[in-house]
Amino acid sequence: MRTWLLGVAVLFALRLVGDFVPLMSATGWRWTTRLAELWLAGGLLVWAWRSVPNAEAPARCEVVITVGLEEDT
Amino acid sequence: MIRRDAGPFELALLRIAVFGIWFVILLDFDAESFSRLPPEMMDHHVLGAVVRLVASAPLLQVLKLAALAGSALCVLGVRPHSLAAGATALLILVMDVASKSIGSYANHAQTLVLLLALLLAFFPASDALSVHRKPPPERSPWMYRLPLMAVATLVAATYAFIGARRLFVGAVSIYTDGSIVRWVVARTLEEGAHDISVGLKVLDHPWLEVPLAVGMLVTTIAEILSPVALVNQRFRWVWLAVIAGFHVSTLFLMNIFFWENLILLAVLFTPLPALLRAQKAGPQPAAASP
Repeated sequence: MRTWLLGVAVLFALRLVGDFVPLMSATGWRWTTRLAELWLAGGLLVWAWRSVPNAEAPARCEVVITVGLEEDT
Repeated sequence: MIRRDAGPFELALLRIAVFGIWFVILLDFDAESFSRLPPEMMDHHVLGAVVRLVASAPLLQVLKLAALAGSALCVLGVRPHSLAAGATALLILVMDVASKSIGSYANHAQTLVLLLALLLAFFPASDALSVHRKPPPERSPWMYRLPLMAVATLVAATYAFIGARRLFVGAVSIYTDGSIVRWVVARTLEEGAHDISVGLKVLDHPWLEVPLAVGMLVTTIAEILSPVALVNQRFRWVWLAVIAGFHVSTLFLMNIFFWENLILLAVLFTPLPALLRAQKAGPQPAAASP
């Protein structure tokens, strides 16, 4: 969590500085913005899914394998 | 994690919501007008070639009627579910591509509910609330829980990424430079389906810029923190209030109404399914005294 927060802070600081200093090209900013979005939103989503107890993982895998194989009646 | 204790009833309710939403969307699709558009308008869409093939009024009308019938069957819970939902989801995909292909305009209000229709075809969503009386086979409870958890995550992800984008593209300046006023006015002046012009009042009352900017900031924070609503029940209520308030306010201020999302939020993030299930089950007999 600390690493994630640090990453968010660094990326946001970079974005703020970018308003005043030409740090990179438009392409650079495009990829930096995408990375920042992925880090911020993706990190939170990973954290939410990691809250599911590990003991339930086999059951979830079972579903993934079963989908498409089960016959509907 | 939200919906970890859900069962066939909750998944069936989601099925009814998703295909019911599509039924309403498809009813509004004007095949006749669409077929009169110049084919060049569809060229920018990645599936433009597919749309060109079906872009005649009679064929579009047939596809629309088939998609409507499929959606109705899915709402009724006709089995085999994977066949009914799979075929309907593909028809819906074609209709969605057709309606989005106009000048490559993407109606993102429909994107989420399209993904859900495609996803539901892979899970036994017609095991409850179905016209069939024959009981479904015994299945692992995770066959119902996992799709609901995945769908709730997908909904949370769409909000989280939109919020993250607004934060990193706009940074601080969009909350302080009057951007919200320009967006409200521009959206209100665009031709919309709802014809509400309340947003223009912001020009007569400049002081409204401050509450609007604060509202946008609060909404952005709530959007980014959407994944927290998956795991924290207290935050979920705050999040629902902010997001539902945001959707209602965009109806009046921007002529945009994501009614599809409001229905999905009610089905996935509120106790509504549990209440409906309890109502359907009727009053439970009191426990026998020892």
